[in-house]
Amino acid sequence: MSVDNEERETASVDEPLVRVSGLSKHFNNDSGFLGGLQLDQTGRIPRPVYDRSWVRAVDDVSFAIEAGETLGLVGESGCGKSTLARTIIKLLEPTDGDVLFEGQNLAAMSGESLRTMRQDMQFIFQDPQSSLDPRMKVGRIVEEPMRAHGLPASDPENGSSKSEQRRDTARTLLDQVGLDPQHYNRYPHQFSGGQRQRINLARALSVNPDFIVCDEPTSALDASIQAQVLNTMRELQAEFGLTYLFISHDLSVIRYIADRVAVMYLGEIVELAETEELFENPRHPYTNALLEAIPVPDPRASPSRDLLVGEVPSPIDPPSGCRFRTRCPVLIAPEEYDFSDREWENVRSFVRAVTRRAPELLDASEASIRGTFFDDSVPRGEAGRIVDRTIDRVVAEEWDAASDLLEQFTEKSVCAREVPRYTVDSEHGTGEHHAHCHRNRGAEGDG
Amino acid sequence: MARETTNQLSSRQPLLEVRNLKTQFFTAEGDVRAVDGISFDVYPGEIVGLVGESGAGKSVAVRSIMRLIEEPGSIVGGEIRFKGDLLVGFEEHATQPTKREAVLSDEVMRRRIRGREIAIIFQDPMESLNPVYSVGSQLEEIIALNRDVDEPTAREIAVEMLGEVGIPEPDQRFSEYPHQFSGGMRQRVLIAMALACEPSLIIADEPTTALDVTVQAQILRLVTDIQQRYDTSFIWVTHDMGVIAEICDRVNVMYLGEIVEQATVDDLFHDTKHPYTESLLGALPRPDTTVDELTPIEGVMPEAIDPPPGCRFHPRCPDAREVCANRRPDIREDPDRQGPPHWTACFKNDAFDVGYWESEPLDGKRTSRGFDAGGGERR
Repeated sequence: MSVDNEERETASVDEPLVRVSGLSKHFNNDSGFLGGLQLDQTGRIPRPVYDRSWVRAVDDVSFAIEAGETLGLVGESGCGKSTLARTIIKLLEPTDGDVLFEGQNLAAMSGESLRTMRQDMQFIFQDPQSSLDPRMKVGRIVEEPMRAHGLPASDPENGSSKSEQRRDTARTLLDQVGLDPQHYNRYPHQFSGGQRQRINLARALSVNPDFIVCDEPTSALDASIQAQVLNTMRELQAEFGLTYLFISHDLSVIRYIADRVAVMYLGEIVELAETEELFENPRHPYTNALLEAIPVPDPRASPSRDLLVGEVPSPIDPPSGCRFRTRCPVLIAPEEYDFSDREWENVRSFVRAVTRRAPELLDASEASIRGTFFDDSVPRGEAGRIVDRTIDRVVAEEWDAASDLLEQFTEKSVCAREVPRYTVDSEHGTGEHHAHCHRNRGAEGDG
Repeated sequence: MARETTNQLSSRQPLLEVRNLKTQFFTAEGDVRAVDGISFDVYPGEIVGLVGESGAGKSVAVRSIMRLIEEPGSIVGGEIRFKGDLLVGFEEHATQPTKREAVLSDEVMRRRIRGREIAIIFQDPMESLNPVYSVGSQLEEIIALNRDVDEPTAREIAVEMLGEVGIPEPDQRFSEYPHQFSGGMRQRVLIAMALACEPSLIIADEPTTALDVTVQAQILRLVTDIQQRYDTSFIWVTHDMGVIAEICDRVNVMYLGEIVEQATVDDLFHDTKHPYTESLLGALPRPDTTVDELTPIEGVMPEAIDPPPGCRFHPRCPDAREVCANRRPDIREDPDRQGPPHWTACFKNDAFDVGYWESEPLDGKRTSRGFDAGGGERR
């Protein structure tokens, strides 16, 4: 799926620096050739079965990163954000999809051409300690990528040798990232965490890259040091015209550093918008839930109200349609049943309680369940009968049967049947706002 | 949250009193003064925050309360009282630190205080859970040991506790092992363990730092629920000002082994007195509003092995004057204040009369590069 040459030439003018389309990365669950082997315990005699399931860590992700911008990538642990970043710069082989970097498809590249491309893409990891070789002096660490890429390419004009040239570059870079060039001969352990992250920055910059992937670069740092490093990263971006993909679980950091933000859930991007727009006008219930959950450093701020319940489902068998639907507080009512808003709200909270086997359902009588979930309004007709039968199963503590019954509601919702893909109008700024939630049906912008 | 005014609080007896606590570590490089003379109280039913950056001495402080300091460290001074019992105390005029006779023995500490009266929750639940025993049996053991009940009753209470902290299907999950629980669920188990003996004080040492925000929000809500239902007191150790703002009643800000500011949570954020607290808040990116430019604190926190002379924050302090480099401020209550007491260890506080305002501002003491260039070398 390579772009032919002519197209590349014309496209390069307003082509983004990085274009990711339909990118997927699936991992096999086996580690070794007997890895998929499991014992099926359901029969009287356990029998070995060969089960090869796939962890769909990143699934059909598309977006673009413009030259000179910072794209923030945010999500909870395990949502696939680090895998996505590693797949983009091909530290991991993609299962499917394309990554166009400056118009060239990385996914199709290998060997020497990929190695040459890597000069333009650098990576900064979370742990500044383990990403620096403790036996190498700082200067050598910073020079290493230059050596690996055979830089400088030609002999310097002033008559100095290539290694002298590299040393000069390293000293200049140390100065630019806010370290003392005199520290060229020190070892990593002689530096604090914030300083070590600066060494990583200097190393990444040494080959003059266009694009730096930063995977939680300040998460291990204290607040006061984090602010120093974030500011330095901003200054360097302006000075070198860098493009960042900035991964973080911390929405506050993302709000500060990013121009646009992508929110990831269970291997997919659920919302993408300019920073101000995303924080002030979130249009996906998951983004909302994340924003609600962050503790605001102000005791007068209103405490968070709707907390997400339950946990992220397994990426081996993600929910159909919208992947967030199993935890979604605003799941859409199935059209088959004629629910009033109130009725559906009650059914929805009942469904979520049954799914996570909430404490208020344990040892509960029929009356108490009705009192807790359906005191003001009970669905009528067929839906009412399903609710009745489910309550019976819950009282009998037959959870699987209860869940099966309730699937008649949830599986019929549009959220379960269709994958949501929507673009809405931005209220802040002019950028595109993608919010993949069926609630946005009918509210689409012209995108 | 029991947001009472401290006027109401002062009419009650504190549950825990920490006075001038000093804990040091004797290493080959020298003596590390990890906790260097801190004092604070915890009243019944309140959540007291202990906030600071890594290396400030927060964890050492709370471990000292539990008397969990191990070689090469030891508590070398001060007094800790809990419900009238002396947990730590020293003879006044001895040349060497000498324990007072009234101090509880290790045996009593283990049998009567730890777990039963004061429980602690650590950051990493895997460290506190034994991987080879089921979660339920570990909980059951603690209950049987501390509450003088027989095994079936202990089991019953254990299942009930697991349900109480929001673990679904507690009777089935009772027999599962720690690795079968997610991070958030493990932390719930630890909270259940802490609650199991109905202690009057729970110390939480960064219990939500390793968790995702959505899970952290669940845990914080659980804790405030528990606090209201059981009237348990908490000491909440964290580096996260957001968490402090969300759950604490009163806050102690620690810097390099000292408490530099002590106030109600509202005063701390809205009437900030100490330049360190102020700088810390200025360095925080915000989730709720756009910040154009963060103001980082210059330099790094020095090591407690060789703290700066004078005020320990003065080399990084934007308001430092000459007097700050020469004299060390203790923590004092603001004399002119109306309302709940507000303590700061800063010469800008009117309680000090050391000529701060007449003293020369300390300029040019910082390197032109600012930031943490130089400074932070480790041995």
